[in-house]
Formats: sequence, structure tokens, C-alpha cells
Amino acid sequence: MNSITISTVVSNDMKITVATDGNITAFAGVAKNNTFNIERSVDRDKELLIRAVNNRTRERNFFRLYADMLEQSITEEEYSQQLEERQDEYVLPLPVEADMADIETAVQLSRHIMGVESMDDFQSLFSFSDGSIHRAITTK
Amino acid sequence: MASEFVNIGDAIEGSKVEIYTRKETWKGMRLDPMTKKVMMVCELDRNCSAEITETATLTDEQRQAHDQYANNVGITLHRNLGDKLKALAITVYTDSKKRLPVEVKEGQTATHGGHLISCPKYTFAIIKYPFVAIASKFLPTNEIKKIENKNKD
Repeated sequence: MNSITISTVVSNDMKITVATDGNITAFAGVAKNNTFNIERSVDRDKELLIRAVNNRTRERNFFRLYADMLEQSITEEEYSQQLEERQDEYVLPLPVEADMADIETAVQLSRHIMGVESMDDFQSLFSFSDGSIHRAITTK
Repeated sequence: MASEFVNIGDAIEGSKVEIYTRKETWKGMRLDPMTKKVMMVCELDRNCSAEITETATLTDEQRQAHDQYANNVGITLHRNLGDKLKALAITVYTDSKKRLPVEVKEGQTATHGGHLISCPKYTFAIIKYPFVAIASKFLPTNEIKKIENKNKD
């Protein structure tokens, strides 16, 4: 009869019991979510990334237009007219509601995106509303 | 009666607002979710404040809509003359298509002095959660430490 070895791993973030007979290992336990990279929908990743790229593009477009106005390549009137007539190219849209899964996905993505250092950077990049952030933080 | 507010979610709105900050970052134009107007956004950093120096002139309808928005998203809106936000970071929406002039006080350089900004038109300012509050829900401890260290720089 094969002998079975049972061991337990205990840390602040996880408690796992492992049983092995040398060929097969079984394990069971509990761990905090932040211990793992939980699998996410690739499509949702893509949608959020596209939203982030478009928002960065709007910011870039705005500061290019602003520089044109400062360099007097365009007049202040032309600058204001562009902002009013082509708002979607220069102005970040109204923030949208996001659920916990979207916010988690965005937090994971933001680790790889330059310049996300404040809540405002994070919210404006992904167009997340204040209410969504408030709910995510205050929900256990 | 004028008061100082220091909690996350505290916000002010006024027709004129005076800002003090050690560092400001102009973020460009955004649609303000409360007024639905296109506003210039500035993020204040390093012990900053924003004070109402002229109360907002709002119709009953606007006041009701703003109160409803504040209630929905869990923010506390203040409108009295002299009401002031004091925090480590404040986000400001001001009714301007251009950056506002910044007056440097106390120090010799723009980096080390206090910065004063007068917002001469409608302005909404809010104390936001620090990024680490949401990041710490989903990221491992070592990543959180990186974010905290970055914010100290």
C-alpha cells in the first residue's frame, strides 16, 4: 500500500492542505483573491483597453489643439470652435457605471499602462463613475 | 456657516473658488458628470485646498439635479461661502476652456512654492479616494507598496 503524505501551507493570505501518494496530489483550502490572477474575459479586457486608448487619444488631441492655440497656429476662436464642434475628439466622455468585475479587470490592466498613479488617472482612463468606485470600495 | 471638509467624498461648488496647492496637473477637457458641461479638469496634489469665494448661482432645477447626483454617487456637496476642502488630493472641474494662471508663493521656484489658482467661473471640486484604496482590493501586497512609493515621490 502506498503511503500518503499530508502537509499544510499556512500564510497570511492562504491556508492549503496538500495530500500526495507520490503519483497524484490533491489539495484543498482557502486563499484571498489577491493571491491569484483570477481569469478574466479576454473580450472584456479588449473592450476596456480600447476605451482606454480612445480616452488617451482624446487627451492627446486636446493638448495638440491647445499647443496649436498657444503657438498661435490657430486663433482662440478657432480653438473654441473645434472644441464645440468636434467634442468627441477632444473631450473625455461622461463616466459610465462599472461593476466589480470591470473594475478588477481595469486595476489589473492599469499595472501595465503608463501614468496611472492616482484615482483620477484610473477613472478618467476607463471612464468609471465616482459611484462605481465608491460602491467597489465600500463593498466587502 | 462656512466650514472645512476633509473627508473622501466631500465636494464644493461655487461661482468663484480659490485654490491652494503644492502641485497641480491639468488633465484636459472633460464632461462634468454633475453639470453635464464641458469643463477643464485639474488635479491638485500635496496638501491642497479649495475654498468657495462666491456662492454658485443655481436654479432650483439645477440645485435639485446636483443634489440628486451627489446622493446617487455618495458625495456630500457643500455650497456656503467660505466652505473649504482640505486634502492630500483634490480633483477640480472649472468652467474654462484654457488652463488658469498659477501664482507661485513662498518659494523661489514653481516646484517648491505654494501655488494659488483663482477660478473665476463655476467650479466643482471633490476629494477623491486615493488610488491605493481600489488597487488594494485586487492587487498583491508588493504591487500596493510600489503604488504607495510612487505617490511619495
